[in-house]
Amino acid sequence: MASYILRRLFGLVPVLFGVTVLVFSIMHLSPGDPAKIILGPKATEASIAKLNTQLGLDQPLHTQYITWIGNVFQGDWGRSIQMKMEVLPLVAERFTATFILTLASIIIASVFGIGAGIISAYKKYSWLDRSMMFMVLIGFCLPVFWLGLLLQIVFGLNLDWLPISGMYSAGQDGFWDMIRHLILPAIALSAGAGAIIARMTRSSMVEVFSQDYIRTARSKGLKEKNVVLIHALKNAFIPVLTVIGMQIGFLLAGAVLVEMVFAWPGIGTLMVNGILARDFPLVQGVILFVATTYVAINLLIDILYAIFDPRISYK
Amino acid sequence: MTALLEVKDLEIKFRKDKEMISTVGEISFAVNEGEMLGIVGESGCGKSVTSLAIMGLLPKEMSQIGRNSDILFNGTSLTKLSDADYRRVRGKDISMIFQDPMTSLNPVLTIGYQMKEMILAHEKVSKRECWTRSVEMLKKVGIPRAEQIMDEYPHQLSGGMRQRVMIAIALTLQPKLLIADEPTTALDVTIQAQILDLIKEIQRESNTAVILITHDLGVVAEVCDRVVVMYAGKVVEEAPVKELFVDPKHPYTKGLLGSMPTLINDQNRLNAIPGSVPLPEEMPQGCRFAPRCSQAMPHCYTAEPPLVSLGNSHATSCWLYDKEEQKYG
Ligand SMILES: Nc1ncnc2c1ncn2[C@@H]1O[C@H](COP(=O)(O)OP(=O)(O)O)[C@@H](O)[C@H]1O
Ligand SMILES: [Mg+2]
Repeated sequence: MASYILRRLFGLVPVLFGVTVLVFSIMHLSPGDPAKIILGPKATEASIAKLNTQLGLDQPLHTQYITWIGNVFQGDWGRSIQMKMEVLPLVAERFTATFILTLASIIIASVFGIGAGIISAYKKYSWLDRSMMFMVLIGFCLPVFWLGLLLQIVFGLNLDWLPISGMYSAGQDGFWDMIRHLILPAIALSAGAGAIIARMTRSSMVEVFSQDYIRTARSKGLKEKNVVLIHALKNAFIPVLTVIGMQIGFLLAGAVLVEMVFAWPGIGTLMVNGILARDFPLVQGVILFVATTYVAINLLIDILYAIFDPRISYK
Repeated sequence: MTALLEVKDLEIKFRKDKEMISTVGEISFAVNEGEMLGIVGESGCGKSVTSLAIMGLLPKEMSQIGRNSDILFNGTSLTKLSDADYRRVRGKDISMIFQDPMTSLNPVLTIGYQMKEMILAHEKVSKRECWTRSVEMLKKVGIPRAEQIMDEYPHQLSGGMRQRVMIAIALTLQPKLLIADEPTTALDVTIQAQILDLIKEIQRESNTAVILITHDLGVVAEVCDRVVVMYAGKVVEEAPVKELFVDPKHPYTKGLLGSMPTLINDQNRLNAIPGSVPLPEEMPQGCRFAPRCSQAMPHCYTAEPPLVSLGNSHATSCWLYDKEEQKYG
């Protein structure tokens, strides 16, 4: 197990290298002279040259990369041009909000998706299975922002049960206040992922239910609960876990939309603002942060694989 | 000897395109206490389905047992048990081992877990005692390093070892009846003999009744006391093992014996019975074996022969012997 984790960690080195190169190139792949874009159309030659030196853009590319990556490792992610603040603390603070939203969504999606998938598979072809899979289809097809608006109208405006924007009520910072603000955006964000998780769980469980070891488990006189939740689910879980891991990536992307709709102060809003303002250091910071998180989550999923399937760490 | 298990007029039907098709047709047999009964027949004769019916493990939505069918265990009707009561019988009173030890153990649970859950499903005992009993059982079936193997997974063991583990699990609670469905078919020849010996030894030692299901008469000859021969969902002959080998009656049994590889006749089944077992939806009229039978008479194609006792606990269902009965009274 330890050697398996170590191997995975080493495997991350090229991935992270690729990510940093990509993030670094954003500055240089964007059309035009970054300094010119940053300073706007009215900038003078002198001020452009000055900014280029200040940003190190007059150096050769590989020197620029090494300087940049060195700074990144030391926690110096540059300054946001627009907000006039250090990028790293800014991104880290906003990321917390996104993290809370994404985590809540993946929990909702997993609990309901896996639950629905198990019941559907167990009651295969029953009306319960059919109606649940129909709902899954709807959840899958609804656009995130549309579902967000619908939830806002129904539960926020009409029923007035829950707040529809922001993370806290004015002048408050309580945990439960935050949870109340979290419910609607988290549901809006989780629908698509929940639908995909439910379908994968169903097909994976259906496959496992026909296996010999399920018959063996029943022949021992085990309770159905143990047959389904231990013998079947533990085997069916690997493909489900893969899907959950993939969904986390989509959720991070979907969070941008949901954050806009619900004015959730996360990294999505930060990024959109950064792009609109051509705030390169900020955009770089956001992407680097999200990409690193994504890689870390995938490592976590890989480790979970080995926990759920003992055969994996031997391969 | 009293019958431990009595299968009475067992009919098993499977759903096929909204129709219920009879796969096993009204068979009856009994297993006595401490006895080793062989059930033989080619693949597709309904042996596995019959054993699953005894275990109450037929797929519910897909299958059905005939209305007049009954399965009595120690005098109690299993077919009338509630799900919860049937569950208490499985593993504790009747347990089962399956053909393929590669796929019959759960790949993601440790051997120890799969051993212990059997005990915990039926008894309230401490974890410690569970562990001790499991290790003891593993040692009993001849597994070296039993303590270590408790923490290992099935894929770390060889096929033979896995089947030993299956046997250990099945016998943990000292059931009165063990059903072994082709327990050696998936194993190497050398391992086959070891596993058979093990089953025989445990059966003698603990006086467990065993139903040994196989398509191989050689296996039956080695270990069984009595044999039931099945063909296309019917019992065609039933006899003590010696009697069956010395004086087989049914042409199907003779065919099976003729196709056994022996020292002289090891030319891969020169005398194999021509044709193959009919599918449940294509059962022939009359005697189900008639189309493949070299001694078939016109009568055989129209009427089904009843199972007739020939004395000496020997019975067969074939018109050839029914006539004899009539002739000699
Ligand atoms: N789940 C099922 N659904 C429909 N038919 C089945 C099912 N299981 C077994 N059968 C049918 O029952 C017959 C007997 O099968 P089986 O008991 O496995 O034979 P054996 O064990 O003697 O080789 C076969 O013809 C098979 O098609
Ligand atoms: Mg079989």
